[in-house]
Amino acid sequence: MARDGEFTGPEEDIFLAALDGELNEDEQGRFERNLAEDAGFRERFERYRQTVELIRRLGPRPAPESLLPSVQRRITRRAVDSAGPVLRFPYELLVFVVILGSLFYIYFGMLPPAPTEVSKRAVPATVELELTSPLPAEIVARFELTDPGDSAGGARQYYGRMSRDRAAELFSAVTPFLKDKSPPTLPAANRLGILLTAPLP
Amino acid sequence: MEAWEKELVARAQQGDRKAFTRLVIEHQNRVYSYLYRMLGNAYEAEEVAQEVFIAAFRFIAGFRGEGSLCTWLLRIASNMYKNRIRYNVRRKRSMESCIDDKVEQPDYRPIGERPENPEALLATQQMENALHEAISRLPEDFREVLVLRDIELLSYEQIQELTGLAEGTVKSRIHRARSQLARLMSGHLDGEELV
Repeated sequence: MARDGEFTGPEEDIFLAALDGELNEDEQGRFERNLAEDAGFRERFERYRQTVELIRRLGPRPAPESLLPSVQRRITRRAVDSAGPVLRFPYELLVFVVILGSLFYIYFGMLPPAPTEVSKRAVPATVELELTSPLPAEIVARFELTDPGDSAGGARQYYGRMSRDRAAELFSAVTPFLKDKSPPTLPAANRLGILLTAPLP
Repeated sequence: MEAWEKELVARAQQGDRKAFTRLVIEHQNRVYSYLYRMLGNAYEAEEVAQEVFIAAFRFIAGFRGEGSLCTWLLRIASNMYKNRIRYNVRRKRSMESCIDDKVEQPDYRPIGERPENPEALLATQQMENALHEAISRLPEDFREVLVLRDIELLSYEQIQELTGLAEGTVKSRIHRARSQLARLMSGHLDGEELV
């Protein structure tokens, strides 16, 4: 049936099947009879057939010659781009190394120098010795010992800071006054603090 | 899918660009033609066709070969075409303006297939332009199945595979598209000798 110039219903199936060559023998017979007897049917089918033929004559449109080279160019560029991350400079790694290096510098670079480099300002190792009697004033003056006088503990204390060699010299000089009479073993430090304690007379 | 095409697909899946180029050569006309009829614009059709093949190159490893490569490519083209339409709508570009360049399109048909008589050539060109414009006026759903069936000459099964529609829906849409086109072309069909 036709409605407002548009085919609907069974005619749709017949027209499609007729153009696709899918009508069986009976259907083909009925279709041809319809064409012969029904002018409206014939006109509608003819217009339908002409339209389809016109569209099919239009046919596929060949691609422009520029399409293939464009696709090839883009694929090549894409292949290069996709290989990019492997070839490009590893900026992320560089940033990581710089940050790590900075942290190492901050942590280790700011530590005090190694103990093998004892500076003159380093705190001296202190050697404490007990004397049998106060030292003569001459020794105190010669080795620049501080003599604070009587301490609260009822003893007299002498204190001095000097090099290891000078300390060895001091111990030789004070050996007669030492309680255990033998000079002490000096520590390895280059500068020493010497604390000598003598009982009050 | 034929054996030679299967082999090319397998090689392309391994990254063989020459094999992929052979596949492009084989299918470029069909993909471009479909896009040209759907978009109604040669420039856009070429642009989108490029995108289709670039996408195909990217994703060919995922092509399992269950359907034909042609259908797979046309499905990509269909999706890309719909994206382009949405993009055009967003940019407030009407599709009517896109068909303005149709008259300037060169006739790509082989020389032997063109009418030699200048008057006949002109008449054919006018008819083609009118038909092209009429096709572009069809609703998108109708236009797609009509182009696939009557221009790309795909089978109903291939159209079903491509569109995901049932056979009855495909046939119904084709018929309705043809009927609408017959009405739109009525002025041109009167007295037209096509046989």
